[in-house]
Amino acid sequence: MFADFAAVLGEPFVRDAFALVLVCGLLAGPLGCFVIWRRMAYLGDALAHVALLGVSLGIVAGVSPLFPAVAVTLGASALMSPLERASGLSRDAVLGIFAHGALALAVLLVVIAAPYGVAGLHGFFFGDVFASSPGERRAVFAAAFGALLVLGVLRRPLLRVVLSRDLARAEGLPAALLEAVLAVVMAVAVVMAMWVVGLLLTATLLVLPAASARMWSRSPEGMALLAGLFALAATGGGFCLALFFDLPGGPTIALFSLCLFITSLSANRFWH
Amino acid sequence: MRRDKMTETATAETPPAITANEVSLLRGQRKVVDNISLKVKRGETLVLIGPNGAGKTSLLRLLLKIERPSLGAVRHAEGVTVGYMPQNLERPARLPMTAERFLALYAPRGVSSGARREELERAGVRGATQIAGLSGGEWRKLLLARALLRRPAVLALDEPDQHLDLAGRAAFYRHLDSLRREGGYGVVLVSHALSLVMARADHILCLNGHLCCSGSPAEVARDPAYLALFGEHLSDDLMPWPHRHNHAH
Repeated sequence: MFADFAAVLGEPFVRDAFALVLVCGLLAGPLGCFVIWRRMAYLGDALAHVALLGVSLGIVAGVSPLFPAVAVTLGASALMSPLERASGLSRDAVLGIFAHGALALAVLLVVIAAPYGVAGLHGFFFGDVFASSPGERRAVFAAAFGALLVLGVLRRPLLRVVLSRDLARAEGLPAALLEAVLAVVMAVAVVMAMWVVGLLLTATLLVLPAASARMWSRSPEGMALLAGLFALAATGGGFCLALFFDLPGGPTIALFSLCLFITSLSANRFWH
Repeated sequence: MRRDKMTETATAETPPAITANEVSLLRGQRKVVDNISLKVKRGETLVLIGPNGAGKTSLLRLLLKIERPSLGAVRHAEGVTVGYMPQNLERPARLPMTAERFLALYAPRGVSSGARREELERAGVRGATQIAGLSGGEWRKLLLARALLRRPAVLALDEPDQHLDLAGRAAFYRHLDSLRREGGYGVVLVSHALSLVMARADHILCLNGHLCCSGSPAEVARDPAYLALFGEHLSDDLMPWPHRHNHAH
């Protein structure tokens, strides 16, 4: 039985999917730390909904949904602050408007303009890692490692913006630019996570590994590294479990990261 | 007229570190800061007082170039660094970081780890403590240490005495006195602790959106606009001062 499993894991299309899942975890872990520090968990969730609109546009136009998804997510991030100012609403209300407006539009767009693509769209609700082309995988790997590199190199100024935007500005840091960098990384990670665990579970992958890492960490870098490890374990372990028991990947990965979080929390309580 | 007097006293001697020229800030229809001119000089303490919502913090943010004024201009002299201690900087409860690392993150190049330890010691905070575990008072002290570590020409303190008890306030201002003596900082201070700051100010601006009055502490204390804002019997900082106003000048 395990020999069969190893054979399945050796299949090229499974291997490709496995690599995709791991790379996604590798980015979601450290970025998830920023999500927790800046209290943006709901932003991740809302952006995943918005990304679905990009997926729809891709399906309707007959191109890879990856690039329109990133583009639409970025566009929405850029529009949120102006809408917040113009409407006088709080950030969570604005996020809700974007998330559900985009979701509704995404579904109707495909149903009306490309009914043949409805099944494809559904795949993104719970993730579908097997549906990737070599070009898409290359793009994802490049974007993920680029994003990690940016987070690593800019970690000091980014941390200062996280701690206080005002202080950063008063002391001459380009706070708006740094926030834009964070938004781009966020858009990339959200689209990847939507691919792997689906839009309904994206926030899990951003929040749980970082939350599992926080209680063991004494420095931001330590937390980011540990969150990366937790996320690798969650995505890798969840993927294998799903494959072994023939379960849907997204929910299995999400539930497995929840189990890791509960274990981490219990162990931490026991330890201290 | 009073405003003229202020510019007169400020133009002499060394060039000011920060100059604000007729700055105003509009938020929607509201004029939060209304046509204020001032100069911050090294070695001098400028105190901004006024009721809540008078635009003190907004003016400070303009002076530090955090926000751009709707009208007028703010100029910093060349090479001027500021050390800012904001009013409402929340203690980051979810970010794992030691006090020592917090200071290191903000320390400019050339400030040694020895200097950081010195600041920590002066603030009375252990370097290995997680910032999430600091008390409110310790966090304020760490924020002050952070501002000082930047080796600023101007120290901008927005209600630094907030959340401190009476003994803590007194200690804080003694600390500030010793800093001013040794450091020659220009200080811009926003505070409600009138008797404590009046004793230390070289120059006071009393704000209520616009400039109500300004001058030395002695001048301001006699000014009818000041008396209208804060009343005559202000001997105790614990007293909530009434402000019977929304007056027209």
